[in-house]
Amino acid sequence: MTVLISAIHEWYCPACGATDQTKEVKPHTRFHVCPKLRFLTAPMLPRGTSAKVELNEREDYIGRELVQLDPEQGRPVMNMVTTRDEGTDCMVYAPTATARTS
Amino acid sequence: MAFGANSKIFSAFLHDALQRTGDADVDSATAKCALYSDTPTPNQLVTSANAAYGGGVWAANQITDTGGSAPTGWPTVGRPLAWGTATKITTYSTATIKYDSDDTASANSTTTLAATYGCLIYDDAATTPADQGFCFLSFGGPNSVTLGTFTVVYAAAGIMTITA
Repeated sequence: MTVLISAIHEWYCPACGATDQTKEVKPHTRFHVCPKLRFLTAPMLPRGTSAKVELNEREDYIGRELVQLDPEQGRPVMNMVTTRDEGTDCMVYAPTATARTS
Repeated sequence: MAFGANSKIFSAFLHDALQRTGDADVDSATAKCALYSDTPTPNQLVTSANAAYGGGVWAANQITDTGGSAPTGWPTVGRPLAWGTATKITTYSTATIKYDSDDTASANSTTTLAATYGCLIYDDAATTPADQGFCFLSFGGPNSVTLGTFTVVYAAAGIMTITA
């Protein structure tokens, strides 16, 4: 006999307040395009988790580097950090490597 | 010494590919992303051996997971690239060739990484030279996680791009 497991996960975004549900059994994270984080794709957190999500701009000189820009202001972004009570998560926005010299 | 702000393709990798003197293969599924501290000073114009994982400035100063299941979250040799949705290499029919992969995430949600400034993308199966590097990416500053998930989000323009 096969046992079918159904799990409903409740998610929320601490930045914009959006909520969502997923029914995935495997470990996963829900993402959404967040209007409070310059329309970048941001992680959602399990409902009830105390946390904050912050976007950090890239502060290095850009020059001709192909860095990632936020869709709202066109500013170079470095990472998005989620700070929870028991730890932190980090999404790093990596640039694109090119063959040309600086 | 510092990782710097530049993200570059190694000239030696392109040279070896054109001359067929190396066996690194961007079309293989054996590429890895190794993380580094601010200590290495990358140079795109070094020899193949010095552009490889374990060679030149890439021989030391890797950032390794020290968290709950260390070093499984992000081993010293790096995490493998994956292609669930991303296209590995774009077609020759456009002037810009793009190499890409899915975003690379730590293997678990209990990963701890300190002050990661950049990464080396290399072919872990290459033998001539061993573990030849394709390119390096600068993250633009220190990036850390504590008992969490670390994800390298690649740009829409790909991990590396060449325009003919």
